[in-house]
Amino acid sequence: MVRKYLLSLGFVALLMLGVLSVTAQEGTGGILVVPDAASNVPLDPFVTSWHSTPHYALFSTLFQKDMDLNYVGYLADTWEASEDGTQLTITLVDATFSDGTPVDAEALKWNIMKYADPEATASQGADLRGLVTDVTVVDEKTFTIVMTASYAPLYNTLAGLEIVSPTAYDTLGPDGFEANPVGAGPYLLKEKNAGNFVSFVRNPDFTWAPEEIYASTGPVSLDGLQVSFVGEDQTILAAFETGEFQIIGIPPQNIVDVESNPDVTLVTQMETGIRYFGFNTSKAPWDDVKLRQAFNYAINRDEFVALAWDNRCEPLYQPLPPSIWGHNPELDATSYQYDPDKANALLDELGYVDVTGDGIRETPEGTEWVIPMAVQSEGDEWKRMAEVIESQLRDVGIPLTIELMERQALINLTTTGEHDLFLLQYGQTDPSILTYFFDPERRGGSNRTWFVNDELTALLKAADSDLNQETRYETITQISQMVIDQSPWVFLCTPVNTTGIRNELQGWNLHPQDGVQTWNAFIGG
Amino acid sequence: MNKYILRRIAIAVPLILAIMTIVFVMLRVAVPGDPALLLAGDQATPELIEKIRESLGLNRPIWEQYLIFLRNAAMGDMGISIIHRQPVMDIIFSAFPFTVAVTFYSVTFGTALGLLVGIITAIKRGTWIDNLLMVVIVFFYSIPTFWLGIMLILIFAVGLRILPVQGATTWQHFVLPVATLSVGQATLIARLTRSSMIEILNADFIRTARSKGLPSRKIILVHALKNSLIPIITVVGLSVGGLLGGAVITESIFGLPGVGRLAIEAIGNRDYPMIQATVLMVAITFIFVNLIVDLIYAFVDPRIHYS
Repeated sequence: MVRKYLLSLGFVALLMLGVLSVTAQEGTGGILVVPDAASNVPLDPFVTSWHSTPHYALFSTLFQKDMDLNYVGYLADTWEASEDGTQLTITLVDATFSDGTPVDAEALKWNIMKYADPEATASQGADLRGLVTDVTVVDEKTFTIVMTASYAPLYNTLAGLEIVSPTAYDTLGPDGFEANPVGAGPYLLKEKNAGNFVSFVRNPDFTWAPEEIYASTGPVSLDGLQVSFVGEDQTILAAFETGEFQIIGIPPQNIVDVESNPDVTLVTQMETGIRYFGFNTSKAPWDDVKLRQAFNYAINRDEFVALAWDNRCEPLYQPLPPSIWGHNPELDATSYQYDPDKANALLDELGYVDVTGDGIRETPEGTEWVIPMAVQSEGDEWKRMAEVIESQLRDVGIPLTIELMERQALINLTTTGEHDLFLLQYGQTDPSILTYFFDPERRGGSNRTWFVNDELTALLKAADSDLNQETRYETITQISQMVIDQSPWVFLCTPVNTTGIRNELQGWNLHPQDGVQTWNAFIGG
Repeated sequence: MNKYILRRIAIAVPLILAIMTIVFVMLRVAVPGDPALLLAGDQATPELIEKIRESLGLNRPIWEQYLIFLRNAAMGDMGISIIHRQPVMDIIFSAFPFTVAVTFYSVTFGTALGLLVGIITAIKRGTWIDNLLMVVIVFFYSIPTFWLGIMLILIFAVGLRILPVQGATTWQHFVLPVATLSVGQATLIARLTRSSMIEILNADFIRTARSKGLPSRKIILVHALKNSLIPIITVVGLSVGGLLGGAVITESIFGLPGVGRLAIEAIGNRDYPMIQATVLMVAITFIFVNLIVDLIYAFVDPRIHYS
């Protein structure tokens, strides 16, 4: 149970339903069965904060990313933004929800306004609250989103909003909709057993896959899809070996074993996320930038990935990984390369010296230095990473105390402002993620470092409202440089995930960001 | 007897109320985090977290939440799962049959095997059969459940390919989890039966029975075994109660959608109504099983009377 998220996360990132390759093998049939304990969440997109395979199966969105990571229409056929970026007019493709009602402008208005409702409690679409003031219906298939300001990550946000049938939602109510969800996705719900699995059958009416990138606009080739809520690594690996599961994320320590299986194909892909540890900068002594920098210099990332990840994680020197647009490789040279001498010098300068002669530094007041780092207990990788960090910091005399706790307890702790250090991760596909983590108004929420810097705040706002890709990239570079300089985080690495696919599953495709995609896949002989 | 049963049930009511109160308060006071944080997601603003707390009623004073909970519980409404958006009792009742099936078969097989081995080792005490079986019992008794479960998967599912690894849709899916739990039950019962039987076999009434020329089979099965049953029934009762509360590790390893997995998942998600309902279910199960065990004592041992 405790490691349920490792395989699940790898899998969720890799099984976003998607692209049909022009060169894909042709065939139909079969039921794809995959494990994902993390998918045991509400299907109602207005309720859950975790959106994964079941949601992508049931619901469609306005946009998707193509193989070049450009946004292309899914339910959107054509679209045009106003010059100042405050309005986006979208014309829809011909599509119907699975209850037979049309996917029209009124339905989209209902959905977007529900997501944008200031009183809404859905985590999805929270960016639209206070931003979208209205959605005007132009004609049956055309509507305009009216906003208070231009918003650069708008397409990213809209690509994440699952569109439901307003008729079904209003008729059934939230609880009824949860039991009988109605969307316009490639699959229809067959059965959901809260503790066991959720299964789907092919939506025979689904024909609106974006033709710009899809060989076939639908329906999907598989007869069905089942997501089993199994979280035990060893169970998942065994079921993969016997063919009960066809696609799984492979934990780093099991890759060598799985590689030798001739019935399996392995693919690797860099995650669109990072592992890092952060400081509560609102609390002494972590409000001292020099102290934070000392920690950054003390971390040997090459050694870290070798010991904690068996080299299956790319060392990281800035807040955005190479897999997210906005990453600037030139910044690495300005960041913290491993330099224990600099770390020692900074610590000495700040008065953290070894008074007792045991190799461990004391506080400037001469008392024992206690540095608790909150680490989630679910998943071996976290403990392993924490142990390597503890060892590397100890080499420069920094005494770190690892405090293992449930992830929920850790998240709760970071919202209180009483924490010290914390080891965490993020996953996202847009650089606007940095706003979530460093916007001062998000202290007590996602700003877990409680970091406040007026200049950085202004840059974040500028980047989020800049529709010019070139200037936005420059601003994001400035943001990343500032995060490096101010050091609220110690960036560690970006995992390179390995996915195993059984050879009986044919016709799958590898998307550069979303991983293994299965709309054209089928179970072959 | 009826009065005794009624009295036990009457005692159970305040006991259950106390358990529910402790769980209710502990969840909200002693356990960090709440479901609002989970529903709000990793990128939430403090305002969104607060709004979700408000929508769930978590911003109300604890005593007010408790009174609402008691009122609803008294009417049989344990609430809606915060995560699954279904009545918690519906979810529990859909998971309970899996747990009951695994419990019934593993306790039955395990106890039968344990009794058999226990009787053999007691009769053959000091012989190589006794020594060999005791080594086997201690070996299996020492094996952690999760390790045994994984070994059985590797041998019978991955190696021999004769049983499925996970799931709960066919009878084959239950073979390995039942085997895993039966082994633990059998070793426990075997050791208990052996020691209990050895003590009884040295008792005066057994010697008398032998001197009267009663057949050995009758002495062992009727006189000795029956008198050894009280501690065994106690342990079987505890096993049944424990397993009906959910064999968490076994359910997780074999992907069984039982009550144990449900409870663990609910705790991780801070799904308060689900946690409260599963605890209530487990508490009632334990109390009920204990009552049944006490009643069985009276049937097995005529010296025991309830009035």
